[in-house]
Amino acid sequence: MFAQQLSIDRFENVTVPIGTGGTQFNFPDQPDLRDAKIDTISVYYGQMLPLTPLGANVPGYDDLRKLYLVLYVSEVEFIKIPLTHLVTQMAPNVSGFTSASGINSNGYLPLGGIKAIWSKSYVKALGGNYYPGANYNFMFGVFYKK
Amino acid sequence: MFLQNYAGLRYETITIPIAAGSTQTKINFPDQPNLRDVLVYGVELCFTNYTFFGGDCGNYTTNLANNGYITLYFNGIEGIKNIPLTEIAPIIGSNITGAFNLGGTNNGILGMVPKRIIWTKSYIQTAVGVEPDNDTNFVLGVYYKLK
Repeated sequence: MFAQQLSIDRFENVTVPIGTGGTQFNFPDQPDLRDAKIDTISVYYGQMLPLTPLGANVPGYDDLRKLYLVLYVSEVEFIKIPLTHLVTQMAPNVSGFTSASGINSNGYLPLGGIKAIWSKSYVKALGGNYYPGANYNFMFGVFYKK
Repeated sequence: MFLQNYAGLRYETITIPIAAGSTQTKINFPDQPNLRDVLVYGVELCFTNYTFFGGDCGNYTTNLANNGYITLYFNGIEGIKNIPLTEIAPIIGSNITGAFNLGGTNNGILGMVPKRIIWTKSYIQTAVGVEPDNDTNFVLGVYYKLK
């Protein structure tokens, strides 16, 4: 349904440190994304991209099923969505995927140019404490315009 | 699905040689005389070892494809910063022996609002050294129009 071709203007790789675990993981400040008009957000997982650009580990796909993203716009929770819904790349080595499921036709959630408040946005863990191990980061791709 | 969007565009391949055993984590683009001042409409990570194996060109490595991020410089900034290489791979991973373990994306080709990219300030970043067993190349495809 959302399988439109993106026409990208800008892109930022955003990581959220998991540290020693917890149930809520706040986004660090994103100076480059202030006033950015967000077209869509992707989430990446370890079977596809094991390391962030700076070498932190990326949680695996199974972990995404326990987590959701809360994105603030102005003073309200504009989006509360499972991370799996933001997956746009299917790795063939993930259990349950087949070679035929290489394209997630539901990827690239269209966000229509919203301006997120990153300092209020966070990743929330369902069902208690989440700790995948030492030196893990969530990794998102933010497609945007200014 | 996407071909009609790219009809009539020119196409250029950029090749960056990577020496066997290289542990470099930042791979700069060489100057691209053919692509100076052109309007770039899209880039793609092309030619895996399945689609374009062997020959004089060689191929980039799984390690690079799954750990690499590309940064494109335009309008005085790194406007596309650390987008995963897998995000711009039009080749969908499969169980075909020899295919890289690349996932498919809806995007495949990184279609852009047309840009004039400064290639000498653009680069590939990896978290770990590429370390190919043999001399290899990173190959990027560029869709463009003359100014």
